This record gives sequence, C-alpha cells and structure tokens, in this order.
Amino acid sequence: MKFSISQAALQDLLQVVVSAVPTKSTLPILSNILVEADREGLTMVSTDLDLSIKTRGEAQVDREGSITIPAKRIGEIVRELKPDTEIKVSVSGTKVKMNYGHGSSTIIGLDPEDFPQLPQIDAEKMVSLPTDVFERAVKRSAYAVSSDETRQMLTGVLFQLQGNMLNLVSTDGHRLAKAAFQGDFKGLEGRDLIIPPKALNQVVRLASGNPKVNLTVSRNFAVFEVGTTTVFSRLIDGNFPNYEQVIPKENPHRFHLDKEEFMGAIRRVSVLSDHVTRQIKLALKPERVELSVSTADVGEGQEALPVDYTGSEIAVGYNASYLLEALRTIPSNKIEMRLNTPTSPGILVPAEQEKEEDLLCLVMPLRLPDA
Amino acid sequence: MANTPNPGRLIAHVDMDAFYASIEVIDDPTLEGKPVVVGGPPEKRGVVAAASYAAREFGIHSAMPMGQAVRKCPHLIRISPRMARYRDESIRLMGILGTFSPTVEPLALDEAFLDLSGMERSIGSARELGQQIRAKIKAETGLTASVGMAPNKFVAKLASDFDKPDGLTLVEPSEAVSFVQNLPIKKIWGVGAKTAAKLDRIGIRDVAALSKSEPSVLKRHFGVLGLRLHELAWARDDRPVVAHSETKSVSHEITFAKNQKSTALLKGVLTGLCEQTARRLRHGNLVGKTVTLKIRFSDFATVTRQDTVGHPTEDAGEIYEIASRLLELEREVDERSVRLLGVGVTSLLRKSQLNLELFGPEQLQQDTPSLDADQGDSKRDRLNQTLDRLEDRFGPQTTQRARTHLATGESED
Repeated sequence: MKFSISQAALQDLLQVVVSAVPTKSTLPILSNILVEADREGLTMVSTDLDLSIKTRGEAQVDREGSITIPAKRIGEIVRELKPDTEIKVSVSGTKVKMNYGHGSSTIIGLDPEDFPQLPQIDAEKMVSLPTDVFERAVKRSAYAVSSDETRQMLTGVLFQLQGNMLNLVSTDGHRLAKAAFQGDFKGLEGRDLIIPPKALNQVVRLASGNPKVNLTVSRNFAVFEVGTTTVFSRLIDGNFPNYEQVIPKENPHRFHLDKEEFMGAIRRVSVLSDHVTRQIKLALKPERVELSVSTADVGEGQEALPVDYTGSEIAVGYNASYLLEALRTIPSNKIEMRLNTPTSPGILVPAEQEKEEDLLCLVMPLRLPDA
Repeated sequence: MANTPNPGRLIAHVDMDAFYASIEVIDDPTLEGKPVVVGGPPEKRGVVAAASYAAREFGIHSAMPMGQAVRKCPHLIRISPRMARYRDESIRLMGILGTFSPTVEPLALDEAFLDLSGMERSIGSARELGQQIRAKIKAETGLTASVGMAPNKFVAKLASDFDKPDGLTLVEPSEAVSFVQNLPIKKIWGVGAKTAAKLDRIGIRDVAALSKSEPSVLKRHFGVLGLRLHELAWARDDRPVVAHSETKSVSHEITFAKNQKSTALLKGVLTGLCEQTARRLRHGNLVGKTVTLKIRFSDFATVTRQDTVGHPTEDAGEIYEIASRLLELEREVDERSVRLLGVGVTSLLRKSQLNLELFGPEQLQQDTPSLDADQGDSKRDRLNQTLDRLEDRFGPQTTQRARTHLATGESED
C-alpha cells in the first residue's frame, strides 16, 4: 500500500474518526485506525464496538491496500507538521513508513484482518433530517440522559419518528426533556430508537456544514450519513418508559421569568446548597418568587425575583443543577415555569416556542425538610 | 476569670457498665456473678471486648489479648460477640435517653452525652434527675449505668467514671475546678503516657500544677493541645452536645481466624458483609452511592478500593455487585492471603433527601429478563423489608443468601 496526501487533508480525516477511538481498551486493535486505500482515495474507520465512524477522503494512491495504525501516534506526528507538507505513506507488512519534508518515521501497525467488521447496512428505508433540526433536537434533549448503567434504557435518547413529527426525549428518572419538531420526516415512521448521546453528539459535530443528516436503521444499529462520513451507533435495548404519562397537563401555578436573571439567582443561591442534593427552595408568592437555601454547617442565602403571578402560595424544593441544565437549553430569553404541588413535576418551557418546535423540560422536586 | 465554668449548663454522661458482658448475663442468668468476657477465642487471636466485674477482679480488662485473660483466670467464661444483639440493645438505650432530653449525643453503643440544661428544675434537683435516668435504664433493660453530671462534657465524662459501676456522681459548677484538680493528671483528656512524661519533665505532675502553668509555656511545648490542657485543668469545656451527628459511612469488616486465600470463600464472606451493611443502611433510612472495599493482607498492608453505584442504594445485591467486582480487580488476592475484609458505603443521603422519581418501578422494567432485573425495585424493596422484619423478630442471621454458607469468619465491628 502506498499513497501521498497533504498534511491538511490527512489531519482532517484523522479528526473525523479519532473520537470513536476508545481511550482505554482491552482490545488493542481498537486503539488503531483502519486505513484502506483504493483507486479513488482513502477510507478510514475507527470503532469502540458501540460507536464506529467511517469517512472517505481524496489521496494520490499508488498502490491499493489496507493497514491499521495506532491513532494516537499518527495523530501526534501529523499534528506537528505544517499544513502544506506532502506526506508519503508506504506500508510493508505491518510497518507504516511516513516520509515528510526532511524527516520520516515508521510506526508499527496491526493486521487489518483483525479489525472489527462494520455492521452491514441492508436497510432500504431512510429518513433525511435537516442538520439544523437535528442539532437543535440533540442539544435540547441529550443532557437529561441517565448515567446509571443499571437503567440501560434511560442512558440513551429516545428518537421517535412519526411522519410529520420528530420527538427526541430523554430522562434520568428525575428530570425529562422533550424536543418535538414538525416537518417532513417520512421514511422511517413508527420507529422508536434509543440512541446513546455520545453518537448523537458526534453526528452533530460532524454534520456542521452539511445540510442533511440521513438516518437508516439496520438491525440493532442506527446509521447516520453526513457527507462522506458515516456514523454507526449500537441501539440501546429496552423499553423506554411511557413518558407521555408523566407529563402533567394541568400545572396551574404559572409565571414568567427572565432566563438569565433566573439562572444567575439560582447559581448564587446554590453556592450554599448541600453538595450532594444541591437543594434550593422556590417559594412562589404573589408578584415574586423567592429562592432560598439553608444548609446545616454551610450557611444560608436568599434572593427574590419579580414575577407576573397572582395565585396562591406554593413552595417547592429542587436540585439547582437540574434547573440550570434545563434552562441552559431553552433558546428564548423569557421562560415560563408551571408548578402544581411540592411533590409533582414542575415544567419549564420557552415563553415563546421556536417555529415548528415544541420544547418541554420537566423537573421532579426534592422534598423540602419541613414538608 | 470566675472559677465556676459553664454556669447554667447541666450535661450528663451515661456510661453502661460492662455493656456487652452484662447483656450476656441478662440473656443467660446462670452467668450472674461469674467471670464473663466477650471476645474471640484465644486460638483465633481474640481480644477482650468487654469483661464482667467478676472477671475484672482477676485483672482482666478490655483490649487484653484473650490468651492472657484465660491465663489470668482459667475458669473464665468466654462468649463470642453478638454485635447485632448489642446494637439492638443500644437502640433501646438511646431511645430511653431520648425521653429525658431531645439532645442526646451517642459516643458508642454503650455511652452518650445528654444536654439536660434547665431540666432539673421541673424534676426537683439534678441528682433526682440522674437517679431517674438510671432507674429507667435498669427497669427497661435490666442493665446498670454509671452517670456523671456536670456543667460540661469533659467533667461529666470524668464524673461517670468516678463511681463505677452503678454509680451517680454529680459535680456542681462550684465544685468542678476542685474535682478536676484532685484527679490524677492522666485523667485529663489528651494526656497519655507520652504527654504525661513530657509534662513531668517540665515539672508538671498534677492537674493543679497544670492549671497554674503559663499558657504560653504550654503552647510552646505542646502546641494547641497545650492551651486545651490548660483550659481543661480549669474544668472549662464549651463543646456543645450535638444531638445527631450525621452518619458519614456505614461499614462492616471481618478479621479472619485464619488468613484466607480462596476467592470463592472471600466472596461468600463479602455477601454477608454486604447484607449487614445494607441492613444498617435500611435501619438508618439511608442510601449511599459509593461502595468501598477494604482488604488487609497477611503482612498488614491494607488497600481500599472504591466505586460508585449509578443511583443511591440500600440493597445488598447492588452493594455486592460493586464490592465483588473490586475484589476481582485486586489481583494480589490471588497471590497473598487476606487477613481482613471489609465493605463500606459512603456518600450517604437520608431517603427523604432523594430526588423524587418521575416513574414508578413498574414503568422501568427491563425487557430482557435477568436474575436481578426480573424482580423490579419495588419487589426487591419488599423482599428487603421482609428480611429485615425476620431478623428483627428472630435475631440476626435468621436469613442468609445462599452464597454466605460458603464461609465463616469472626465479626469484629
């Protein structure tokens, strides 16, 4: 195998695939990138067995062939070269020799035969999503997934395709995010996929500059295509809980807040919250909402914000981090909060929804000590 | 400075007499008046955890190696510790103390401070109040307690030791200084053999001399401790009685009678430790996220390894899952024999502090059935509660998971 390529082009290809290379692996070959040269150019593949990234790029190929190269080592060498440097790569056996400028290096690779096979794509059905919608959907939902491996089905984002609706829902059992979009999403109707957030975030990263993200499903893999790059993600097994059931229809105590002011107040008050529970108290009163905290051996603090509320008083405890993480995803600067009881879910929504979008954040309370 | 420290405060120190040994005598009245000790057998390197007063007449005291105790008293009656039984009795004791004051600070299973400030007035006198506490303990548990009452914790603790066993010593504020200054200097908190020798070298041989020495001199020789010693020599101690010190961790450990090498056996022991730990979490209405495994090898080298659970737990199975994985990762276990094995859970939360759940356990069923998953959380909670009730009724180790039967060990909390 023999090819030559500019530093800039090689660097770009490596950057696409390197994110799927596991930092630690029991299988040494996963630390390598599979490089295949054919008449048209190069194909590179990386995988951690759950997530695989495949990309293609142009190169001057003199002899076809394939090899796997340690990702970290080739990355570090290429990074140190100037963009216009011509790199000549020739492989004999498992030795990868690179010639550049006045230097050269030889990296020992591993047999490409041992590299895991990518899943076969045999799906003819496909849905095409505007990158902008895909990116918004992921950014507004992925934060709420669980990291608890004993609740597998909550560690991914529910990806629901319903023809003219796309729902992305995630929950860790204490809070929930639902981003719904209207549009033409035909092709994979009726599919409910649970996709690891890592894969979705990678697709968002790789999709920038491409107008469309194409999605197909093949057995237990979701396959995303953006330009010349393909991301394969293992789907998470299990039944996503019936989330519609827990979204309250009627939360009567409603008020509006400036998002930045609200977040600032939460951040200041929560400095003195318990470091494990992060509990703060929200006391809703006519015309104002009072945020307060009182933690034994730590201290106490409070802050009041004016609100357009005239109903009865209610006090609810929340994990400050949950509120902040939800608020951060809301695009508008005015938000609406809807409460019901101190033990039922509170709702955060943009005061005005974006066009063809419906975003909802749900947060379960913490019991107040005196309640 | 006035010589009446902490006026207006009344602190009691309640110290049970030979607690473990006395419980054994209650449970088996034929032991009454006999030299009884609680502790592991001499051939298993046991030490005396508690000695009855009859045993103490032979010069036996706690922390003495069992072999030595048996030599001092050949007809000594040795009983292996039953920690769960003592713990239950302790819960009863603390409950009784709680009827006298809302501010009870347990120091160990068998001793506690009570803040009784102002309460003597409704009873009549401090001495009467002290007698009532002792009488109630005796009536409800059959055990005797020694009680010290004084204006602060330091003097109260000295006072409970003054007339032990079965005594009551009241030190009025005006008597506190002379009470302390008439005690041997080693009774002062913080003065061990080393400090006593060092004090002796600078000419301080009794508490009165300590009280008269210059604080700056003491500070030079002993640092902050020196200043504290000077305060204590004047019977001054402002530490409050802290009602409920938050539990930071719950743990159980076992020292093996014989060092162990078999991973299967260690895992069996681990199951039991996890169950005891989980049971105590549930008793305290606590859940924890971090599981710690402690291994001491035969050469006393000790390692601790920890990992976190995905969600706060009180379940023995979930604790075991992490602890056994940590044990498997400890490669040296294959090569060196293990002397001690322990399991602990930290990052504790009260159950009431948990974030409320959005979904019920039935909504979060995994669809791939496995041993653990096919009993959902609620089912497992019910199982745990039932096991706890059985143990509460019929004593510890009524029920055990099958894995436990592989192993036996000597429990020493």
